[in-house]
Amino acid sequence: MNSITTPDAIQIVAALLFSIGVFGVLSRRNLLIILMSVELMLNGANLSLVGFAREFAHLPGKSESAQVMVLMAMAVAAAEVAVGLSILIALFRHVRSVSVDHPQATTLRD
Amino acid sequence: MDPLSPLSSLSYDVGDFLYVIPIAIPALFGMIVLILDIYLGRGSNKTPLALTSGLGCLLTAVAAWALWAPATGAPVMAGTLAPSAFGAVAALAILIGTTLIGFSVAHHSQSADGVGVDLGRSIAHGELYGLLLFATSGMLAMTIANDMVTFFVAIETLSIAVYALTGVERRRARSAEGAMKYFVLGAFSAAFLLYGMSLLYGATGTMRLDVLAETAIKPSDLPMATVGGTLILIGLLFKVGAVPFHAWVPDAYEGAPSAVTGFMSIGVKVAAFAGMFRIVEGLGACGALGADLAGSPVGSWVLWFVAALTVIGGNAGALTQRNPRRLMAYSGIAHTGYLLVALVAFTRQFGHSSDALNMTYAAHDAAAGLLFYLLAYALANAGVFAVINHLERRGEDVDSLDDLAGLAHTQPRSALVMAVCLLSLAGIPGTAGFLGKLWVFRAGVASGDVGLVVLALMASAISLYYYLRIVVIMYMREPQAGTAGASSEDPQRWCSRLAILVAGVLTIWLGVYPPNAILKLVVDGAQALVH
Amino acid sequence: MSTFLVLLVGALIVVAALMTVTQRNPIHAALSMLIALGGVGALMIGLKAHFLAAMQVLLYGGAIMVLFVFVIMLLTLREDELGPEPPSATRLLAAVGALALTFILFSALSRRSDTEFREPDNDAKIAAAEAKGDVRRRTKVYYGSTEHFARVLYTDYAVPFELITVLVMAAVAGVIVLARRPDSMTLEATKLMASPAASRAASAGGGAA
Repeated sequence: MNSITTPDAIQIVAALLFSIGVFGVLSRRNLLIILMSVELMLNGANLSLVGFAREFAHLPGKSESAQVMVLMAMAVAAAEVAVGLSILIALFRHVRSVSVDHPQATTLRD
Repeated sequence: MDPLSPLSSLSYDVGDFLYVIPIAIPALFGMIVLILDIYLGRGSNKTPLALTSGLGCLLTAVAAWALWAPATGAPVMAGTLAPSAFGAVAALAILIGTTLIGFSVAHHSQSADGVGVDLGRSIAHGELYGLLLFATSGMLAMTIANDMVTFFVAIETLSIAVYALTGVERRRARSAEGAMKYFVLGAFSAAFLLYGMSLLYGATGTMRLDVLAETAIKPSDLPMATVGGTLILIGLLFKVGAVPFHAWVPDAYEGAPSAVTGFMSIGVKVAAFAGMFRIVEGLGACGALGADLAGSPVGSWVLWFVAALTVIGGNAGALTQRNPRRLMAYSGIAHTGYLLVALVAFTRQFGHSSDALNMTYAAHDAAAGLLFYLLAYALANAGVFAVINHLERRGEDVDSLDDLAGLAHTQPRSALVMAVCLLSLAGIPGTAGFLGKLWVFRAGVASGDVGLVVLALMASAISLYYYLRIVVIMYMREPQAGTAGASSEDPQRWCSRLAILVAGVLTIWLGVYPPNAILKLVVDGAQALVH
Repeated sequence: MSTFLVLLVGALIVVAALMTVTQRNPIHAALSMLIALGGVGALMIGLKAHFLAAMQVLLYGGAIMVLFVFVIMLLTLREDELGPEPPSATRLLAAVGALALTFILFSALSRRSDTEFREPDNDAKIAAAEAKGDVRRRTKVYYGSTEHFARVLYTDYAVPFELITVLVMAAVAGVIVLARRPDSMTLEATKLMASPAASRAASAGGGAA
C-alpha cells in the first residue's frame, strides 16, 4: 500500500465507482436503479476530473477547465435525471412497471 | 480599456461573440415558438409555428454561412469554439433537417375533417418545435466546439431535447418505451464520454482540442490517453448507432413519431459525425490512436472493423423490415457504416508510414466526402420522412410498407420525391447520394482500405433491394382503401408539400449539377480540418 | 490529505455504491447512493475543490436525491411493479464485463508516473494580477474558491455556460411534454381511439366528404 500515492488513490476510487455504475446498468432491469447507476458513473467521472485538476493545480491555467467541466456535468446530470424520471412516469402510466423489459403493453391506462 | 469595465477581464476579443450568433438564433426562436404556441391556443392550426421555426433556421443558415464559412478554424472565445467552413456545411445539413421536418408536420394538428382537435395523436406541437430548435442549437454548437467542455454540454443539449422528443407522443406506449430505451443507452454513453474526457485530460492537462493536437503525451501517460480516447469514441459511436452499439436504434426510431425519427436520423447523426471527426483529429495528432508495425494507427483498424460490422449489420437488418420507420432505422445504421469508411480513411493520416503525403490527400478527401455525404444524406432522409409525415395524420398512420401501396396513383408528386430520395440513399447516379458515396469511397481507396470499400459497395448494391421494394410498392400496387396511400391530396397540407418539393429538387440539383458555392464550401471545410 | 484517509472514504463510497446497485428496494438504493455521493463530496473537499464540494452536496444531495425519493414515493411501487430481475447468468456476464473494465482502467492508471499534489499557484497568480495593475484581481484568488471559479466560468467558458441554459430550457419543455397527463378526451374520440379500424374508416370518410 505504500506505493499508492494520494492522486492514485483518488483515481482508483473514481475508476471503481465508474465500474460499479457500469455493473449496475448492465445487471439490473429496474429503471430507477439504472438511473442511479448512471449517476454513480457520472460521479466517478467527476471525482476523477477533480483529482486530475488538483494534480495540475500548480500550473497556471490548466486546472480551471476540469473544474468547470465538473460543474457542467452536475447541471447536465440534474437535467438528465429530471427527463429520465419523467420518461419513467410516462412509461409507468402505460405498463404499471418500472422494469425496462416487460411484456408489450399497448393499452392506455387513465 | 477602463480596468473596471466588465469586459476588461475577458481574455478574448469582444468581436468573438459574433461567432456565437448561429448557435444563439435557434435557441432564441425556440423560446419564441414556445411563447407563440400559448397565443395560438390548443387545437388551432400550427402552421405559424412551422413558419417561425423555418424563419429561424433560415436566419441561422445565413449567419452560419456569413460568419463561419470565411473563418479558418482558429480558436475563438478563449478556445471554446473553432468556427470554420466545416462547421458551416454541417450546420447547413442540420438546418435542412430541422426546417424540412418542421414544415412537414405543420398540418398534424388539424383533424381529418378540418374542425376540432386532433385527439388521436396528441403531439404537443408548441413543445415539438421548441425542442427541435433547442436541439438544433446544441447540434450547431457541437459542429464547431473546440473544447471538451463545450462539446459535452452541446451533445447533452441535443440529447436531452431528443429524449423528450422521442416520448412526445404520450398516448402510445411504444413512444414512451422508445424514449426509455434511447434515454438509458444515451445516459450510459454520456457517462462514458465524460469519463473518457477526464482520462484524456489527466494525460494531457488540456480540454482544448487544438492544444490537444499539439501536445506530446508522456509515454507513461499514453495508455491512459488511449483508454480515454476509446471511451469517448464508444460514447460517440453509441450516438451514431454503429454496430455493436446500435441496439437502441430500431426501437427508438419505431417508437418515436415519424417527425422526430426523421429529425433524429438527420440532426443527431450529422452533429455526432462532425464532432467525431474533430475529436479524432485531436486524438490522432497527439498519438493516442497508437501505431502498428507498418506505421498505421491501431485505432484505424478498430474503426475498420466497426465500419465493416456496421455496413453489414445495417443492410442485413433492413432487408426484412416491414415498418418504414424500422427500415429507415437500419438504413440509417448502414449509412453510419459508409460514413465510418470516411472516418477510417481520415485516421490513416496519423500514422507514420512512408506515403504520408498521399494519406494527407486521402484525409482531405475523406473530410470533404463526409461533408458532401452529410448534405446528401440529410436531404434524402428529410425527403423520405417529409413524405411519411405528409401522409400521416389521425387514422392514416404509415406503420407498414403496405400503407404506401398505390401512392403513385393518388399522390404522384409525393411518390416521385420519395422514389428520388430512396434512390439517392441507395446511391444511384444522378442523385446527390451517388456523388457523396463516390467521394467517400474514393477517399477509402486512396487511403488503402480497398477491402472495406469493396465491402461497402457490395452492401450498397444489396441496399438497392430494400429501397427499390418501396418504390415498387408505391408504383406497381393498387391503393388499398383506408390507408395513407389511398388518401388524396389535401390543400391544407401546403407546408408539407413545400418541404417535399424542396427535398426532391435539391437532391437532384446536388446530384446532377452541384453548385460551385457548395463545392467550394465543402473543400474549404476539409481544408480547415486537414492542414 | 493522507492516502489512508482517501482509501478509507473510498472504501465507504465503494461499499455504498455496491449496495446501491444490488438493493431490490429502490428507496434503500437511493439512501445508499446518498452515502456514496456524500463520500465523493468529502473527497472533493480534500482535493481543495471547495466550491464543487458545495455544489455536489446541493445539487446531488439536494436536487437529484430529492427527485429520486419524490418519484419513488409518487409511484408507491408494489413488489410486482418492480419487475423481474435478470437471470444470474446475465448478472455474471455484467460482473465479468465490469471487472474487465476495472482491469483496463487500473492497468492504464498504474502506468502513470510523477503523480504528486503540489501547492496551487495562488501566490503567483495574485502577483501577476498586481503587476498588470488589475484592480479587480487584487483580491486573493484561492484554488477552488467560488471567486476563482466564477472568473473562469463567466469569461472563458461563457459559451458552454449559456448552452447550459438552453439545455435546461429543453429539459423543462421536455419534462412538461412527457409527464403531463394525456389530454382529457371526448366520448367520440375515445371510441375512435379504441378501434383503429373505426378510426381509419372515419378518416377515410372524412377525406371523401
